[in-house]
Amino acid sequence: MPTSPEPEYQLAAIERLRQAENPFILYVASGAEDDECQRFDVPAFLAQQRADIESIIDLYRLKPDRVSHVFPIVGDAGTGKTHLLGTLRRDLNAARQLFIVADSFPGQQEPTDFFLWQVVGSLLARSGPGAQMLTHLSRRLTSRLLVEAVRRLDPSARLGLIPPQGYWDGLGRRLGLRSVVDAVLRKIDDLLETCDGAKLLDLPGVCHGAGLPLDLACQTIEEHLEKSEALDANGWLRRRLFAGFARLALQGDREDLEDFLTNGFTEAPGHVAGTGSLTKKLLTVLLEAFGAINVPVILAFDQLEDFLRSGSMELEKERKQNFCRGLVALVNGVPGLCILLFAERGLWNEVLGSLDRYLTDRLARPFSLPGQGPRERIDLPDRITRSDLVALIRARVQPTLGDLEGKDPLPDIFPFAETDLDHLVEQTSLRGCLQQLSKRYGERLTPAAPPVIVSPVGGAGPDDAFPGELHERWTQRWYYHRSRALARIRADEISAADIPAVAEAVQVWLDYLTEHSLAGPAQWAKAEVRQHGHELFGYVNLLRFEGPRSAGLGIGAWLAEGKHRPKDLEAKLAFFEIKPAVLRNLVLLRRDGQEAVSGVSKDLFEAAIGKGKDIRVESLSDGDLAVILALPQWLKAIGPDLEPAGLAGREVVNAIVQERTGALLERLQSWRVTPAEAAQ
Amino acid sequence: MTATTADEEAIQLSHPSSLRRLAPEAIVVQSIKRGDRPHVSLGGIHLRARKKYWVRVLPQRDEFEDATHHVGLVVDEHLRSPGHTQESLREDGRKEHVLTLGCAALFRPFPVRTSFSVVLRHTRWGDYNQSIPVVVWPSLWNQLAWAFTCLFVPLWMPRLADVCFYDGHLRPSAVMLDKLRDSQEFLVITAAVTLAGAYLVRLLGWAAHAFIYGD
Repeated sequence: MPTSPEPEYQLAAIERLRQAENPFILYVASGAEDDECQRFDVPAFLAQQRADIESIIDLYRLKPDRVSHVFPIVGDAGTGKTHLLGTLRRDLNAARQLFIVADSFPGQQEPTDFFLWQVVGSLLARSGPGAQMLTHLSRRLTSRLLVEAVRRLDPSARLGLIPPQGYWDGLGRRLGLRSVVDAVLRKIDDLLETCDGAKLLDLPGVCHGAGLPLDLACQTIEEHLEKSEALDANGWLRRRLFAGFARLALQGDREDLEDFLTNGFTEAPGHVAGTGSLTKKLLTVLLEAFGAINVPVILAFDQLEDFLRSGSMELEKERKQNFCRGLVALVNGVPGLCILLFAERGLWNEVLGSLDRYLTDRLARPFSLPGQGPRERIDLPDRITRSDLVALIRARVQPTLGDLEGKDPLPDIFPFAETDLDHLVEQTSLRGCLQQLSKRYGERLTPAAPPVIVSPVGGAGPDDAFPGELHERWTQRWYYHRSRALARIRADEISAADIPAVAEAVQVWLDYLTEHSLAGPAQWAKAEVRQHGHELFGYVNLLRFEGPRSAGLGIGAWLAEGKHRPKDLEAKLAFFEIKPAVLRNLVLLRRDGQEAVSGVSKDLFEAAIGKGKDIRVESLSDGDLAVILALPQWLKAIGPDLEPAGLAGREVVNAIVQERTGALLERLQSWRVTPAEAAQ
Repeated sequence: MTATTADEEAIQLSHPSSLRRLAPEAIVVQSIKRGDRPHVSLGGIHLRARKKYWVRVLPQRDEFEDATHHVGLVVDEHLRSPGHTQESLREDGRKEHVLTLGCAALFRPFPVRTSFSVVLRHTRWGDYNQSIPVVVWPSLWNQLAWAFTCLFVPLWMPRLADVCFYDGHLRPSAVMLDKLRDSQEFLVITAAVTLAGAYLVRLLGWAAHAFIYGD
């Protein structure tokens, strides 16, 4: 087709686009903080599905103890599931619901324990939506507790809340001088009215304004908790937890709450500790706290295929069974939980078909939204509309054009032609559209650009990418996930609550190496995550080299800080006590390395060495920890592209895994050798 | 890892008792006769013996409809409550419960410490009891009567004896009247002492409550 000369303003616009990055290269919004992708969001696209999910969340907000339910959000590969999840996390006000996106599913853990640590890990993050939620939760609960504590005081006791301003003020209160007493009671009433309002407060500021000292406010709340909460296990946990929230909200003291949530709750008095699983009870109390301020708890699983797919049919079947049983255990055992499951349509149907009736009935239970009929899932559209496509092009190209003069006459689909769109609307997936747009965009911006698009289907998919290109693209993705993990580490978002998550991440790496025979000379007979003793600290990755039942190498992330550091160490050392022995030697991964072995930890360490235990502390740099945490995320992100890329793609992934984790694997091989063996 | 079955214990959520809106939003005590509010000090609310008061109770707004279905008073000694409750609608449409509280007559000259409890019967949570300490003051007439008995009468007994009798015999009435006329100054002094005594009793009562019960 002959091309007509392009007007000057169009050439200027093309020149401007040439100077910028291809805006169609990124496909999805991978997280709430992923500004690059969020900038390109088209709100109209998937608006109905987003509205449906928000309706579901609102149902749980209105009735926090509503029956738990799994809500599958299904669509074909590349239809925008991950993008929908990412934009949902961005758009939903972080302080209005606890939105947890699980990046793993428990192997050894009980599902309720797994869920508890997800909640705790999210709340104890130093930044991001979890931190916002902790602030919101602590302020709202503390306001509520303060209001109720003061309202349960009689008027004469209320007079004692605000210290007198000098002798005469105090005497006036004792004698009941109306002017003095009324002024104090009015201040208290104003405080109650402000705290009982719907607005989120600067609570310390409000207390200062009323003249109520913060330590007295904390003390009043603690006395109220002592009087009003029961003496049973839940009552004890509530007293400690709510007092921790009060100290955080009023005095900014976070340590007490962190200690309690990570370890303190296990140090319960006998009458509490003897009543059964404390993790389950702590989860109950946390969910009650969320319910009391109408904050729904949402657990989302993205890329279901990452949890379920495996090279071996047997393993895949086992994973499907375990995952679904875990979900059903959560649904049955934890009330008020909204589980969003983002899955490929084919895979979800396959999973449901392979389950027994008990599991299917619970996972495919119909639900109904206001004004709509019952259904079992939320379906994503299987075709992108022309108007959405135009909006998508505009959203991605316009920011690059910026304030370019004379851009107004440019068509909405610039720099594409109408014929390009005719081919694209036949695409069934958004990702396919973006891949083709990316390719066509490149062609349009090269000086000898062909006038029309010619390859309607699968033009620029991973199938056609050279391994070199794939390697570069996936390496970029790797850097992206590693930098995100590193940012989390440097923002102190990784804490003792992440010990199970780190163990799971190490396991993903070990499993990958096993499945693809990449372990080299270090090949082990069996690798597993082992949990023993302490609910949080008691996690170790166990590599059995001599046989599946032999004692092997334990690798444990020693992450606890402060007074919990020795407890974490003690929990790991307890693995040596298991009979028959499971540990031959233990490697503790620690950010500050050998420096951590001091004080009480040193005594414990030396006592264990004295007993002939082979333990060593290995320094784990932020970069190494980021590699461990990034690997599962990266594998998940490239998952959809991996299958179409075939064998070549798999080789590229293997190569990247070897490049990026090779140094860690070498260290792992050296850990296998005990000092006695090394001496020989 | 297994799916939870009916045999296993599922988590049961409840509304934490420390967060329940049990206490009333406001309790206002108001004199029925004069409409004013009694004094409040660190020792409690100061009421007068033989007086009647309204106790206005405003339950908190709750997320649950008809959260409080009954409000009552339980009184300790020296207080009375007829037991019936009136409900009134405030300007903002909220329901307020109005109860009557009466103070019994006090024979003693000093105030007495007691309490009453407002009982809110919550549909979901059961009864909640809020105790309010009060100080019941004897009336001024009571204290005057005590001062009269303890000061005026003892001061006047010898004087009257002197006015009426001489050497064991009754004086003539004209002499008695003369003597009484001569005692006018004494009468004023003893009346003033009696009045001061009554106020002294009151002052002692305040002091006791301010420095003993106030802490």
